[in-house]
Amino acid sequence: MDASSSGIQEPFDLIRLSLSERVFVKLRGDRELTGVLHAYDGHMNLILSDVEETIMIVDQVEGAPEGHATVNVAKRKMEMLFVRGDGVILVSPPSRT
Amino acid sequence: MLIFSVFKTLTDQTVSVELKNDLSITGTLKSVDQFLNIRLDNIKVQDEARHPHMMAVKNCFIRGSVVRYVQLPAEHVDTQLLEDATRRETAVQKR
Amino acid sequence: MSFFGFEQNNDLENEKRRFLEGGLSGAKQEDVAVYTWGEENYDGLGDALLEGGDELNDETFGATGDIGKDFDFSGTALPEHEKAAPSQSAHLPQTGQSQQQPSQPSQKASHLESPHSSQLDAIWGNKSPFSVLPRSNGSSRAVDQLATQSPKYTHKPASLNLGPDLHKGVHTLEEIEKEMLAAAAAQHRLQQQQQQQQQQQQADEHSLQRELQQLQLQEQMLHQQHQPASPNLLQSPTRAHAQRPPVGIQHTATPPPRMHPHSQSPRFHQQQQQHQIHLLQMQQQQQQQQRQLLELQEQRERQQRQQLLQLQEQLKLEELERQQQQHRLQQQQLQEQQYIQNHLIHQRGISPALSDLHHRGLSPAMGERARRVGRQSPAVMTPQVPLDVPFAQNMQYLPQNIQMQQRLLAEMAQAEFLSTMQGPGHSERDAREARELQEMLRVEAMRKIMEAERMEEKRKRKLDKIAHMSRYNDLMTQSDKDFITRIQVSQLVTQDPYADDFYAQVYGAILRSRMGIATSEDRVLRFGSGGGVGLGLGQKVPGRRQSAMQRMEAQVERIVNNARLREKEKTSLNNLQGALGRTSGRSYKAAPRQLLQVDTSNASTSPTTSHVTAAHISKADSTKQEGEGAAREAAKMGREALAVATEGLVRREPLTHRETLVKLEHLYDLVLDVEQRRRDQPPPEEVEEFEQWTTECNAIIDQIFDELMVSEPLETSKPHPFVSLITPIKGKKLLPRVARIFELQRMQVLLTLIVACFLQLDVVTQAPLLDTLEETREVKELEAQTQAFQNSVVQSILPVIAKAQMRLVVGLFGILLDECTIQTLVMTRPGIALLTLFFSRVEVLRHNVATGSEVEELPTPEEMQRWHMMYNLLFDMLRPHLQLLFPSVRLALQANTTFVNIPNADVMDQPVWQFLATLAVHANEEQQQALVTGLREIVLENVATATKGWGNDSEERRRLRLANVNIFLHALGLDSSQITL
Repeated sequence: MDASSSGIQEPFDLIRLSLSERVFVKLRGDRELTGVLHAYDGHMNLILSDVEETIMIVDQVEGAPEGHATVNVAKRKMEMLFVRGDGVILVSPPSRT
Repeated sequence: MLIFSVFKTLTDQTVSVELKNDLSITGTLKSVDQFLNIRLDNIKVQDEARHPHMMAVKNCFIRGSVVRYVQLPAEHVDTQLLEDATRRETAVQKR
Repeated sequence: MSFFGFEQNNDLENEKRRFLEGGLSGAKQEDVAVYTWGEENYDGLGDALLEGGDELNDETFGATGDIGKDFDFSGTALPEHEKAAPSQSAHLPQTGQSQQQPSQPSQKASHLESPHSSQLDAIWGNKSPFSVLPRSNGSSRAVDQLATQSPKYTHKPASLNLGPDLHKGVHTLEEIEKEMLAAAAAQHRLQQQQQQQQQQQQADEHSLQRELQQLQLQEQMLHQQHQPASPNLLQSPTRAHAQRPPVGIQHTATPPPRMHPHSQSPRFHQQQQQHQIHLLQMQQQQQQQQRQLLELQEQRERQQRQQLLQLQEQLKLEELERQQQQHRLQQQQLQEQQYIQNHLIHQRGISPALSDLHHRGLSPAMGERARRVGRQSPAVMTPQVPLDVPFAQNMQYLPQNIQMQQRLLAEMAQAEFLSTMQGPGHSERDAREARELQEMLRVEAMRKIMEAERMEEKRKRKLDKIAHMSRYNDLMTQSDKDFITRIQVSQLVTQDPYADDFYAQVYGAILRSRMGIATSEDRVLRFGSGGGVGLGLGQKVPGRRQSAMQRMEAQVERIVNNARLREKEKTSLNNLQGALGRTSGRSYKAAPRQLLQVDTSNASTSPTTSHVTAAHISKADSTKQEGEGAAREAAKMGREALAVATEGLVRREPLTHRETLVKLEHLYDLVLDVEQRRRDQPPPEEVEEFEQWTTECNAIIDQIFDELMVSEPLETSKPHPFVSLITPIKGKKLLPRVARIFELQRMQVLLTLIVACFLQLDVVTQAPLLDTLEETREVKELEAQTQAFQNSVVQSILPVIAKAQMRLVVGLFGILLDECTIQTLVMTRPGIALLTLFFSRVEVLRHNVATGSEVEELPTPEEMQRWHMMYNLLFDMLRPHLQLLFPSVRLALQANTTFVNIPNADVMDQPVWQFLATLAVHANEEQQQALVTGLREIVLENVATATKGWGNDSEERRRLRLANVNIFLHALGLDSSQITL
């Protein structure tokens, strides 16, 4: 049964596979989310539960050479979150070992 | 329409709307429209010190496009129904 | 006072002088003024108005004297009038006429005369003596008067008499013809004779007569022209020039040349008009002469009047025919002539009339009028009503408006001219009053003009606005509009209202049914007849949309009902679970009642096999051997229940996660499809439709069953594909929904497969991970999975087990014992739950045996025996690890503390206590002893902490703890209260 490819016709079908699965979402503004995907639509509006947000805050130190910026990572958790689609860069299943 | 449908069920619930300018407003969701414009009552701005101009504001209408996140009350969201609704919507779109 | 460019100071004197010098020069002067009125452009007239110089009038006319009873024109006026009548006779019919005009305002609404004349009417009111006169035909009345009051009217010119008579007969051509026929030839001869006689008698008058005839002819033509439009209206002017000039102001109500084409400059005809004027003046002079003559010839004329009339009629008719072709050409000229004639007549006629005013007491009426004008400014108020009419017929309005103004101005001029005509003998008072009157009229006229201009401006703006707004009127047809409405509605109303608003609708329905709101259907969507989404209430929706609405309504109702049923089902399941959980010595009472009694004898387990097996097992064997053997046999039975042919076995790689997800999503599609179809179930009465629906649904259900891969051989892969499918949470969550659409038999197969693959389940294999106090993501994930399994998978197999016969339970139990390591199994929540379900079911079946109820379900003795063997085996395996069954104990071991300190220990332990209770129910005495011994420590500790309140446990927690212990103790016939610490 070559089910791996069956039923996948468009990119959104891939996202559908992740319904009620944990997903990784990359957002504009150096933000990343992981959460369980419960809903999405054509605008990539998402509703996630059990969300952990990671915000990368890059502090370019004055006078420091290129690439020596310090990156502060802020994390926070949210129980249920609506994510507006215009900020979404990518949605993917989390890497599995 | 799906998300709109969801927000409709959340009217009179407390939500936190985080805007793209990092302003985060918590309030009672009064209404929402198809553009996901949001009207909030009894609002409270997080980190008011940084946004003193918001202190006197008691309710507001938020243009949908400036929203980054909306934190929803999990107990008022039926996730399985959400997934079904999403499946239905994709199925309808495919047809 | 000056008006329209008249000489400012000496205008009155000048005018008088000029007139005396010769009517022509005066008329010429007048012409200029008169004809500027005829022009469209009256703007600037107001500017030309020059105020002042009025004080000189006092010099001329003297101060206003005592008016006396002049204003009393109500009662005494009439006799005075009658007295004055002789000199005024000519005006009488005229006045009647002018009063009559407003009596038909609706017909003439579009004509300009109404505003003014109606005002006049109002001013005169019913107090006017003429109001009591018959209004139907003023002219005929005049004739009557002439006839009856002969001496007074003898001086009347023949023309006057002719006028009314003519009107009588000449109103229509038909009448004329009738008269003609009646007159006949004899009359004609008579006329000729009379004419000869007349000619002889009135040789000196002959030329005058001709003049008269000419005038009559002109009049006649005018009548002919104007009759169709407004006979009454037009009679007055025409008669005005033939009759004696009318009295004063009320005569000014006589219409101006309303047919006068405003587009044509009057100056165009000036030459001709002047000639006409000259002629007319001559005629009028002659008329005066004639009047004197007539007085002398009074008697004769009376005799001859009829003859003369007939003759003149005849002549006029002939003339008419002759001139009929010229009528159109002459029309304009005639109008001009008429206008000038009128005007001249007014000028001439008014002066004596005005001079009479005082004597007759009419001037008080005028004064009254002037006061009224000052008080209530009727000029402002009165035009409102008639002006509204032109608004409706706005096209006609403009010329009429101008005409009205012209007429007003004509009044002014007449009034003014009156004063010029006043001889030096006139009293100053007369002049003064006339002046006041003029002033009043002027003010009124200005008001009217301004008002008219304002109204016109308003009207124009309004029209412009309307025109602007209505630019695109009727651009779309009604069907276009309907089409767009339909599109708009279709945006809101779809075939499947739940595609767009599925979540909100169903969520609301579930919420409401959960809250038990009876009228939930009403609150879902008010698609009530006529209501509709986004449509105004009461809006009629044509057929197609209407039916769409109704369909939607039906769908809403169905989905709500379904949701409610589902909810009910869920709650009933919960009740069942609670009943099982609380299993104790008497727990069977609360055990699930058997709703369906499915005969499972067609399951592949053949009774013969079991008999053989039973015979096989020797009672003398050791318990362990016995149990193992029984388990093996039972497992074989159970596997056979799967009805799986092992021949076509193809070993495969287990499904990848992605494959699983793809399959699951497809399954969801199918399940959603079936669920939707069930909502749209046609009524069973529609046999064909219903059959088709059933077939389609069954086909999809078959497909679901296939795609769940339940029928795949056990050894196909490890884990089994089905296990892979229920590994993701959404796979687990799919099971209850599948369970709702599968028959019991399919569910039994599914249950068997789950039991057979129990150790492959993620929640079982990873269960040890949960025995930790850490809160890693994996633990949380597994916790969620376990929760999902308990809530979904166990929930869906619970009703199956609750209906299972002993044979199936024994078989499944056998599989479990054969395949699984019991020690591992009992340390997982799913394992505990499954075993509890089995023990509960067996207890129910045993109870049935004892009470003899549900005979068909009665287990055979062999089955019971096998059950006991397997139970013994299980018990022996569990005996050394009894304490470790408790998660709290395991956690405590790991954390090197006592289980009492484990947070939430009681909640975690509850299923285990329940399981131990069911275990104890089935245990024999020795086994019960073993249970008590093995669990003594834990029971004591729990009871002690619960009753003595050790630690900082909440009341809630202690109660739960005690309840847990008691469940177990009750199963042994004990109670926590018996325990002495």
